[in-house]
Amino acid sequence: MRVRFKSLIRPAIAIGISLAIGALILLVAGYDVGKAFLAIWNASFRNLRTITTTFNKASPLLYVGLAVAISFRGNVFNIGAEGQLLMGAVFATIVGLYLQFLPGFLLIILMLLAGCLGGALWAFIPGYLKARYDVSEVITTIMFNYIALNFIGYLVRGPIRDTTQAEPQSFAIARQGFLPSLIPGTPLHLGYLLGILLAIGLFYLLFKTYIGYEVRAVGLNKNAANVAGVNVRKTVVGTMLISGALAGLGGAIELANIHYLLEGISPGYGFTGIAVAILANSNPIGVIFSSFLFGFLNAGATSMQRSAGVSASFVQIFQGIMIIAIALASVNKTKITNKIKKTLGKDKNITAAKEVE
Amino acid sequence: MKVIELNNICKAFGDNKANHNVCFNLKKGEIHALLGENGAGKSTLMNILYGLYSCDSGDIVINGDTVEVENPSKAIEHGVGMVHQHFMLVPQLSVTQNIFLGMKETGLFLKMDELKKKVAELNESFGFNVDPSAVIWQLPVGVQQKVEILKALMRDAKILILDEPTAVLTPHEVKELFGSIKKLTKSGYSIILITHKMEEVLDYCDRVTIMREGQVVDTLLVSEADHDILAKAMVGRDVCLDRIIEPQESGEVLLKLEGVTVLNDKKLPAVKNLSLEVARGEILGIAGVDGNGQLELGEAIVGLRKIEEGTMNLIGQNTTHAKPRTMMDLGMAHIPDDRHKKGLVLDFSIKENLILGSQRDEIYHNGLLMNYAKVKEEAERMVEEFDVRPRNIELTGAMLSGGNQQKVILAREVSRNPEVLIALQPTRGLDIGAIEFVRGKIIEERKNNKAVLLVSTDLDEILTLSDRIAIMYKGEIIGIVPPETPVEEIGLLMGGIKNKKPKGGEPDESQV
Ligand SMILES: Nc1ncnc2c1ncn2[C@@H]1O[C@H](COP(=O)(O)OP(=O)(O)OP(=O)(O)O)[C@@H](O)[C@H]1O
Ligand SMILES: [Mg+2]
Repeated sequence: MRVRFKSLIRPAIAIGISLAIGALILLVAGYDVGKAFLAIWNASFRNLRTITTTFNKASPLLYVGLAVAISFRGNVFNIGAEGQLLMGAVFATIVGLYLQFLPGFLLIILMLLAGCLGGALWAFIPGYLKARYDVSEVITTIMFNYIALNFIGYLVRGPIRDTTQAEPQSFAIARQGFLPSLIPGTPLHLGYLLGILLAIGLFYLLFKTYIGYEVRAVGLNKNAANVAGVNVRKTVVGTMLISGALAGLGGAIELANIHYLLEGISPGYGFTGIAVAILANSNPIGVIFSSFLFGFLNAGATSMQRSAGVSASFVQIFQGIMIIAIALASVNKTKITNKIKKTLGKDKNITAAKEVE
Repeated sequence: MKVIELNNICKAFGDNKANHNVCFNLKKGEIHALLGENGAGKSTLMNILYGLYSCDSGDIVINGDTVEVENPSKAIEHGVGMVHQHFMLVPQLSVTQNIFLGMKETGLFLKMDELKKKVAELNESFGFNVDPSAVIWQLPVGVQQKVEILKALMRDAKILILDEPTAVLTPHEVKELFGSIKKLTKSGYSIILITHKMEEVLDYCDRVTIMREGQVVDTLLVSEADHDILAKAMVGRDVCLDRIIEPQESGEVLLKLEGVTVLNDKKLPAVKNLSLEVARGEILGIAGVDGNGQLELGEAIVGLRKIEEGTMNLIGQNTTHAKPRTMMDLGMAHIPDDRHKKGLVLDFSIKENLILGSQRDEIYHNGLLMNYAKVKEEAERMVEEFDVRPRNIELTGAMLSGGNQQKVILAREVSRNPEVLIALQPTRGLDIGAIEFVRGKIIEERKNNKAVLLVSTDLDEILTLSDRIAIMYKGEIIGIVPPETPVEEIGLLMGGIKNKKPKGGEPDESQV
């Protein structure tokens, strides 16, 4: 356990460093740093409504973050969480539209299961191609993102288009399929709680079960795993299935949250999910926090623009800095120690090394 | 003249003092051996000299100047080159590409022909025989070793550190290598050689420094040392590596191969129509010059390589096309030949490495959940029994010295309590104390009536352990002989010459 917590130190440092750099950039550009940061802060933490909105925005990031995290642990680079999320939303829409006669809880459960199925299916093909024919999953999953996006485009312009709307979008799903709120009157929905539970479950899966042991073994050295009798192909496909199912579930929940399908249902959640997973060092528990952080920043973007005049895109710059900072934070410690030794001069070098340690 | 002086070098990893006040010097033109048990701190010391680790305290003096070696490029600037215990080549690239990888001299546009010519020239002057355009993964390890040395020479290193360069070489290759090294010292190169092999120290080196538990025990002139002095200084006790197995009746056949053909990575037949049997209570040693199909044979037996023709039987089951999992479940254990690539997950803790392959065994889990308390308990037992140092099961595999990594693998495989043990180069890179230990474990398996197949390019090892010796030549078993056979005869067989009929009929009838 101690080791797991240690892996959270690095992200914390990275966030600190990027806060400083972000502030510096704003300062140099002549903005009121305090005002900008305060605006972001307030956008989430002003009252119950704003904080629950932030949780709501963090929800899909939590799911795709988990999806990407487990794939990274298995050394599969699932860049296709976006497409898997979209397919999850599509499958959930179809259930929500065509099984209108079902009672609420059953409909919701079916929608979520359909979402898992859609995402898993979308991940299975690249996973199988990688396991069986060594086709790079990076390429196939990226391609599958486009197919999914265009498939939605077709659906919402054709077969399931709600013709009463100006913009292309589907009919709304059945009322009883709407996600119930956790706190009545707020946008915090059941899906977020489910996500937290899944994160904890995934943590257990990865670090406490033999399945997770095998996923990590294959991720770290698939040759040695193979020699030791682990079925590498099965493990790779399995990792992709879990990853895809998580992303698809995130899509289904987002769908049940906004009630109809549209092309813009995901503003690139799947890609942000990669950053979320990296920031969390692919630790499912860490993903809870990193997805919240990203949701928090996104929630504050517009209000920062409004009150401090800083473009909302600054938030993306900031997220970029955070990723670079975490990459830097993983640079070999001895290299840094060395540099410090050199600058402090030879006599002090022992104490300096001790301090850094 | 001293080209290198290391003064009072200290380096600790946590509480583990890998180097403590180590002093070492190297004279121009000498071959200086660095000898010591597994985990004594030899690689650590050399990694400090080469700039891979920074020392906690101490000075490095190169050619009379005290220098800071912050990274390998600095070391190379000072003329120090290193060939690592575990190779650092890019398998998909050619020899020339590997040699020039990362060198600025190549310019932006590679002139491959010119570079190849340079490699060929260097080849010539030191008697290396390496095809500059060959792709690394297709080369035998002996040649890869030379590529590593060429890499250092091309960077103008005048001081070469060789970390266990002969661990993976055949006797013939060893001779060749030392031939080249002698040539190098004559042209003013100086060599530091890490090794566990006493003969190499005594036959080829000028001085020897012995390390134990992070400290220097002594530095001697080789002319004043002998085998026993060195062994004792190294492990602090007498070591016996003589043949000590008692005659024993072998039982029923557990592993049987008939007419087996296996392809190598180049899709050429590496094992041709080969038959053999291993029975309970015996050790069958497979001797042969490296690259004669032993490795492919071993891989086929454990289920890692496809058997194209013929059949294999393990304990009465047809396992011709069985997967590694099936073989393990039937009672086979396997010590792979390459511990980094096939044996360990380097980023896993020792604890996790010790159960690799057994993670689904009932004792290690309740339902889906792993029983990490049990894992820990078993791991601690294994680390104790197999003397893995340090005794800290939370360290990652990468933090262990090479020899201790090997012990982890051995501990894991033997603890599986197999019926058949396939040991591929089991003592490669181990110190003599550890070799004694590992061989003892293998003999114990035999005593417990298990079947052991031992593949080793170290003929001494084969002679010390085997009940029968099968000699492989070009993918075939060219003869099966008893261990009392004169070494010369076995040597001839290894070279493919079988005019002298060994006792017991035609050598081709390989099922005995
Ligand atoms: N990166 C590391 N982190 C922590 N401990 C380490 C690391 N590298 C080496 N050690 C420890 O330092 C000690 C010395 O290791 P070193 O690799 O120098 O041994 P060695 O003499 O080269 O042994 P071998 O003959 O087995 O290669 C060992 O106890 C080892 O576990
Ligand atoms: Mg070493």
